[in-house]
Amino acid sequence: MSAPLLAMTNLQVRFGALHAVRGVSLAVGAGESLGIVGESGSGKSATMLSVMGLHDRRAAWVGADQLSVGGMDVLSAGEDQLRALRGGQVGMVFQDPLSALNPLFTAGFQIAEVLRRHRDLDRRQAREGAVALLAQVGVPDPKRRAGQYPHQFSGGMRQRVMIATALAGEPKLLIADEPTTALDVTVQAEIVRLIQDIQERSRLGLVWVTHDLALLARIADRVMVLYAGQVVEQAPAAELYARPRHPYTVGLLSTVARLDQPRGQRARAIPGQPPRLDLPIVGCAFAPRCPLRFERCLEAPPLIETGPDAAAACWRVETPA
Amino acid sequence: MSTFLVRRLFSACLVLLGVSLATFMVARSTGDPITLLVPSNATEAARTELRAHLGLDQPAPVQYALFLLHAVQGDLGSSFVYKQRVLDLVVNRLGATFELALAAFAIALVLGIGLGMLAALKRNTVVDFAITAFTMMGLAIPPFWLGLILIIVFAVRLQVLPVSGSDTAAAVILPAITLSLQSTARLARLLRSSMIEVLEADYIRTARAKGLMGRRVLWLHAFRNALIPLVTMAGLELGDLISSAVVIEAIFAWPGLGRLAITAVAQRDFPLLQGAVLVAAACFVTINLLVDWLYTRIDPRVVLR
Amino acid sequence: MRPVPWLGVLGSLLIAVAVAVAVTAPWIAPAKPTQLDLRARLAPPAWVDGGKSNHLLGTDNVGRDVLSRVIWGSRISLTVGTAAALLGMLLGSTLGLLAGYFRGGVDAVISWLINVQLAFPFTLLAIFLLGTVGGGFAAVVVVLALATWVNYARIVRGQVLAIRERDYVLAARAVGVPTGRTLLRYILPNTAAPIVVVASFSTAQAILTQAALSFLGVGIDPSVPSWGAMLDEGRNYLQSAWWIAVFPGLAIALTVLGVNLLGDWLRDWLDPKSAA
Repeated sequence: MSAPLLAMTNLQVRFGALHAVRGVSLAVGAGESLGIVGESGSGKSATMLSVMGLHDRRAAWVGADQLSVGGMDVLSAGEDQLRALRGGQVGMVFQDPLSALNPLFTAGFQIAEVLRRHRDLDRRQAREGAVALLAQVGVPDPKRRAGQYPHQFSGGMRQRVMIATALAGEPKLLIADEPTTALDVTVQAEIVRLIQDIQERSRLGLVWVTHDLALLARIADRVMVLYAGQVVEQAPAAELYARPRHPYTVGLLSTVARLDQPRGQRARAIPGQPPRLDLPIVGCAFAPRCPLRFERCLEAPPLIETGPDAAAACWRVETPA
Repeated sequence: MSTFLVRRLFSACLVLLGVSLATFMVARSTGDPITLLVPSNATEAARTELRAHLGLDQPAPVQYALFLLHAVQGDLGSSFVYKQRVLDLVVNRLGATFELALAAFAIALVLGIGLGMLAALKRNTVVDFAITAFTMMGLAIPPFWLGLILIIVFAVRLQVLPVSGSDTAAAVILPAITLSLQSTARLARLLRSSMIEVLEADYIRTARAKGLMGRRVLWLHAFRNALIPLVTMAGLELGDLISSAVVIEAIFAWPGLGRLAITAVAQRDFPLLQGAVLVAAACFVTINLLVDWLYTRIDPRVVLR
Repeated sequence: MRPVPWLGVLGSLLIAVAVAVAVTAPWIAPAKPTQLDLRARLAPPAWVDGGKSNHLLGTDNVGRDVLSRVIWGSRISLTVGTAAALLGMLLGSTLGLLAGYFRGGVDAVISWLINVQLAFPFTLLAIFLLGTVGGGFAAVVVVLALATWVNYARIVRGQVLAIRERDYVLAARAVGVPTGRTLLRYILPNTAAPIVVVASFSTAQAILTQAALSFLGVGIDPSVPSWGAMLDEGRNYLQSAWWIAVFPGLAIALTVLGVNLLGDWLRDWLDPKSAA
């Protein structure tokens, strides 16, 4: 494998006393897709914002042994370098396109400003480029739609506009932060297919962040499960779905509604709450909610290898119940 | 656009109708203006003649209808005291009031926006606290009292600015500052809170994720959104400035509408007072029509209805 | 976890002091507010050269004690301000409630009234009304209520328009709860929070406007000590005796500051979303 597009080792993010990300490591190469799954508050969005250097420096403290995109060190980068990274090297698609697009500017304008910023186009070229991008993401009648405002688009079309702005800088890495959560179920599938198509065609590195483990089955080569700011399991997607090793992953999979199971067994939520992130966590973070916990869980488990390119942070890997 | 305009104009006319009806009723309910117009030893015949001459012998609804009919033709009657056309008197003074109100409005906009932005960007710092303290004081200090103090300090003690009148360009400075104080404070407070809200919006995060320059994110993406509530408020403020100018004009001997109105009250010159109120209301309604239109230029989500 | 609302505490404190002064005026004022001390006319405050120890804040042009007049003047400002805000509340909330609940024609008429009221240059209107009807406590309160009712009407109308579509209101209507009862039991309580906030800002507005009207010489009988009237008397002695106008002005500013701070705090407290 060539040098990864995105390399992150031991990322830490703190918001004051709140320790949101506690040592996440990951790597994504060109053409690879990584799925990151976790509940809200698991640190998945905070992790992705760090990649772009988007945290408010007054509110957040970010540290890592390594955090580089395309070989550039993000943590020591100056504001100019970061701006070249954002929207240029890395495109980002957010969850709710209605609030993530500026209501006061047309779709075409919001795409064109990326083109002008990162591809040095003049006003006219950028306008034409925006129309071409809209066509590329499957917006019908792109010329007319480019002159319309976000509120004039449907939810799915709006997310296509958002994707077009993310692609406008010709990024090598695309970060999608719950891009289908705010959409109707029927539209979700279209957006998933669109992003997959683009990723495969342009050999983009893709990081797809979601709380929906079932969704990742179709998208991701590898899946990483976050809990309380820590990686609890990572494995190739097929392996993870077939043989989940961490009790939390097992719990997540069992909450996924599966039509081939009898009604009563569907969608069991995991009882209990995630730990408070403003306090130190002693031992395994999941232990209080874990059905398989035993004495050893008072000690924090490291990521233990469970197969090729697969690991789980659970003592039960060594000591099956 | 045209139906929007017609509808807004129609509702503006209805508002003016309401204002004129209210002023008419108040003016007529306060007794017979004839007693004020003639010497107390005037004969009954003279009184009747004057009453007929002024149209005051007609029933009240007829008087109102006639007043309206004349008003739409630009005739607001004649002043009892000055024996001149009310419209001429009012328009004559309106210029001075406008000058004062617009000068104050300009100060309020520049200072209000500047302070509001600064406070929002330096949120929870000493700068923010200082600006908040200033705006709280600005809202609490009676403007006319500030006017008195400014006169003591700048005109009497330091003798750098004129005390009163409108003869020189410098004369507008003190009254305009005095008049603008409350509006400045309100606009700054509004912009601070709307800016803080906007800066936390998702689309600002998007703009930063697109790698745009900080200045572009701030002034194009954030400021324009924060401006929307400000535009509505600014229209009301301008109307309020014209109304508040009445008090400030009294302190600084500014020859505007307010002075005219106060004299008119003292002399029970109802046609003049009625005219002044009506013209001021018309200005307010016009300003708000403009604001509505401006609103549609800034916010594409507002549909012209 | 909530930080101590220092500004709210300061506001409450200022209001408490103002109310205490107004209530205990006859006991704490060093002199009668109308008592003339002709030998001590235009005496400066006690700490200034020529000041007299029995007139702490000096005297006015006829030798009345400024401190005593400031103390007694608090009564007018506070009672007029509160009464006007309450009357405006009664009027505006009722109209806003009716407009929001019945919509259609009722709403059209009330919204028209609101727009007419907003279009009036208020100071001119107040001078006009008080100049024609004559002054007096009741007249001033009514005129000031005319300035404040719109604030309540607009906010209550908006609230009711939103609330009337909520499930519990629809349910109440569906099971045949009479309209009046729906309004009073189900809708009014939900508008209480914004009404309280508007009330505090309206009180501040009324206090300032009342002082402005007294300053212009319309409204409250000038022989009754009030802060606005003192400013009017003091303006002729700005050069020679600044203290006549400065102290009542300070009293107004501190009182209004207190009411505004309390209003800000109430707003943040009742609606944490708006706390910025």
